[in-house]
Amino acid sequence: MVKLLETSPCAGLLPRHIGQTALSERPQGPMWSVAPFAGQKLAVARALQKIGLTFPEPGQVVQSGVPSVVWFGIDQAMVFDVAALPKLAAAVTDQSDGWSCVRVEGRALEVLVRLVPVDLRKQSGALRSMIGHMSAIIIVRDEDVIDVMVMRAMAQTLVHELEVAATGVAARG
Amino acid sequence: MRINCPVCGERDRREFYYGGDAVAMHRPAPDAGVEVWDSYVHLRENPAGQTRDLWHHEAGCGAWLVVTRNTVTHAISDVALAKEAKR
Repeated sequence: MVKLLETSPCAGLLPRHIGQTALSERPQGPMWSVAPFAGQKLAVARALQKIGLTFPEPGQVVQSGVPSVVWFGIDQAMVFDVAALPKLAAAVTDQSDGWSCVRVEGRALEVLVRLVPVDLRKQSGALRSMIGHMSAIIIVRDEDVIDVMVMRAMAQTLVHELEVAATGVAARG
Repeated sequence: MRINCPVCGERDRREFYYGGDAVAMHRPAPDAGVEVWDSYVHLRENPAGQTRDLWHHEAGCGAWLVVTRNTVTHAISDVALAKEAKR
């Protein structure tokens, strides 16, 4: 049988240090998209509570040890680092390896203010918005630690956008 | 222009996609007759004043919104989730 080589979305592109900004790729485990069927949000939340998680409110990030669940859009959440989900009254898809996740550290706010049309100073947790012209998920962990996720195929564009913005921030001193 | 998404809060216009007159939420029955269907598909009001439009928060939460806007002043007076406005 052919043995395939595993390649992360940003392999060969990251990590990078530009001025006081560090760009690095987040390691990824299993990732499940969970979209409850109509009227089943509470039932899904209860089922997820049995594994220490819940169904998040808009913008919410729930961490339980390593596993976490992140709000990913209206009536949609992404469960991270759970090997197998319990049976849920929801549309569930395995999206492992489908996303690129880049952590921006250091002057993260100054870099992302150049790319994102939302005032991230007023935000915490997860939001959906854009990086340049790409739709993205932005997770504000702290004011100087922000994770950005885009679809895997957009990894190179994401890194390019972040590099240009970080270079601009560094040039201003 | 900014739209106050009920889910995400106030967001820039570039995150939204225009979905036309909110009349699309009132689809007639299949047997409603030619005139009703002709009106639904082709005939639109062009008001100088309040209008209701659909907007899709495509680069945000993904919700369809009903935005009530004044075409004279451009003021937005109400934004509601389409799935709730329909009930």
